[in-house]
Amino acid sequence: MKVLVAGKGGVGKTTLAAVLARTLARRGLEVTAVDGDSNPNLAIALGLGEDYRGVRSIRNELGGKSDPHPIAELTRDFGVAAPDGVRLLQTGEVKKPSEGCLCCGSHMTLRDVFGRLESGAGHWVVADLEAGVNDVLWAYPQPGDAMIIVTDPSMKSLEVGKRLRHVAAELGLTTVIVVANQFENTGDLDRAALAFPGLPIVAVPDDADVRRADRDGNSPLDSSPDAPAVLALSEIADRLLAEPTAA
Amino acid sequence: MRLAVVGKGGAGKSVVSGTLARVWAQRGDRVLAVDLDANPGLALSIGIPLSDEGLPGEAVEAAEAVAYGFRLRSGLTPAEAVDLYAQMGPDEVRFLQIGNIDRAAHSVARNVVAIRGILRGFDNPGWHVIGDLEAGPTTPFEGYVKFANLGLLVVEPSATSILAGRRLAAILRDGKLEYRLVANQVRDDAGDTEIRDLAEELGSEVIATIPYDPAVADSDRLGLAPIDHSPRSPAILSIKELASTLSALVGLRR
Repeated sequence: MKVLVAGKGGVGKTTLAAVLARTLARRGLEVTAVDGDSNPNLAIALGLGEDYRGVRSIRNELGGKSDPHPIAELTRDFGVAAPDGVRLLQTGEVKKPSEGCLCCGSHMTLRDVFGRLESGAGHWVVADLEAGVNDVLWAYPQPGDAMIIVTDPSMKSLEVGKRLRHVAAELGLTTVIVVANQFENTGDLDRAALAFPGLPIVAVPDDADVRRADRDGNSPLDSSPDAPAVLALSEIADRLLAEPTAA
Repeated sequence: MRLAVVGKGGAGKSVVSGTLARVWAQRGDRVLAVDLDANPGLALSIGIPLSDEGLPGEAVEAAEAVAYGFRLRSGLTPAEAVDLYAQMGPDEVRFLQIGNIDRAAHSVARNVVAIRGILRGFDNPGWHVIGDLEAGPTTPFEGYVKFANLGLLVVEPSATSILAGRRLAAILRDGKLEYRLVANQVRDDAGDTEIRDLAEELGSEVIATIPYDPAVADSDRLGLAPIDHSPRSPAILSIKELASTLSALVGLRR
C-alpha cells in the first residue's frame, strides 16, 4: 500500500510519517519513506541524527529529470538506510531563490517517485508531503492509495483537513484516516468529529515527550517509546494493516 | 514597512502577520495584508471570515510567456487592484489572498503572478504591506519575497523549525533581503537561548521573543483573531511591542 501523509504545516505530519514507517517495518514489511517536502525533515524524525546532513536529494542531483532513470536505480543511488530497516528517499531541497517554478523540480520528482515506487506483497510506501493541499495533487495518488489527514485542534488545520478530504474524494481514494494530533481534551475531539463526519478518527494526545524529541531532533520512538502519543501513533500502522485495501 | 513573513509550518507566521496588521491599523496606520499560502490561515488571524476565492476572474488576463499563463489585467495598477479587490477587514486592514485550494481542479496558479505584481508594485506612501508566505522555502524560492524591504523569519524552539530557519535564512541572504528573527512559542529559557544562538550563528538578531501562550492556542481553536479573543495576553503584548520596534525601524530609515 502507498500512504500519503498530509495536513497543515506544524500539525505533526513528519513525526507521524516516521513513526508509521518504522512501525510498519517492525511488523516485517519492506518500507520506503518518501520525503516530499522541499524543506526535508523526515530523516531527522526517522532518527538519523546528525547523519541527516549526508542525505542526498534526487532533484538536487538530477535536476528535474528523474523519470529517465529506472526507479530501482533511484532507490539504489539515493536510498538511505534508516532505523528498523526503513529506506528513505528525499525528493528535493530548495536552496537558492529563483523566479522559476518548482513544478519542474521537486514537485515533479515527488510525482515521478511516488507514482513509480512499487507497493503490494509486503512493500509499503509512506510519503510525507509538504504542508497543505497542493502537494497531494502533485503526488497524484491512485484510488488504491491511502491518505492520512493529520490535524491539530486549531480551526485552520481542521479547515485544511476538510479541503484534503474533498480532494481525496475527487481522486477516488477510499482509505482515508484522520489523525487528531496534539489533542488536549474531549472538546478538541468533538470538534474533530464534527469536522470529519463518517471518517475514522485516531486521537493522539498532546505529549511533552514528543515535543522534547522534536526539540532535540530525535525520533520519539527512540527517546520515549512508551509515551502515550507514541503508542497512539504506532496504532495507526495496525489500523492501516487492517484495511481491506492493505497489501 | 514592507514585510515578508517566512518560517516552517506551524511556527506562527499567520498569527504574527495578522496581529501586526491589526495593531498597526488600530494605531491609525494603513495596512495591506496578503495571504500567499494556498491554505486557509491569515484571514482567520486578522478576523475575516474564510473564503476560498482569490482574485476575481476580471482582475487577471491570460498572457504568453508568463509563468502560469496569467498576469494582472493590463491597465490595472496595483493601487487600483487593492482598491477594487482587497477585502476590508476589522480596523480597516485591507486583505488579499491568492485563494485556497479546496478541490483538485481549483488551481490558484492563475492568481500567483498577479498577486506578486500587486505586492511589488503597490507603493502607496505611508502604507504597511505584510506578505504571509507559505510554509517552508518553496515560495521564497519562487521570488515571492521580492516586494519586501525586511524579512521576518519566525522560528520556534524545535530542531526542525531551527533547521528550516537556517535554510530560509540562506534563501533570504541569496535574495539580498535583510531579515530579523522572531522567536515564537517560547516556553522557557532553554528555548529562548536556542533561538538566540541561531541568530548569532546567522549574523542576525532576534527582534521579538513571543512566549508560548495558551490564549493564542484557544483563539486558534475557535478560529478567532487572537487580538480580539485575548488582546492583553502575553503573546499579543509582545507582538504589539514588535509593531513598535518595526515602526521605529521605519522612522530610522526615513
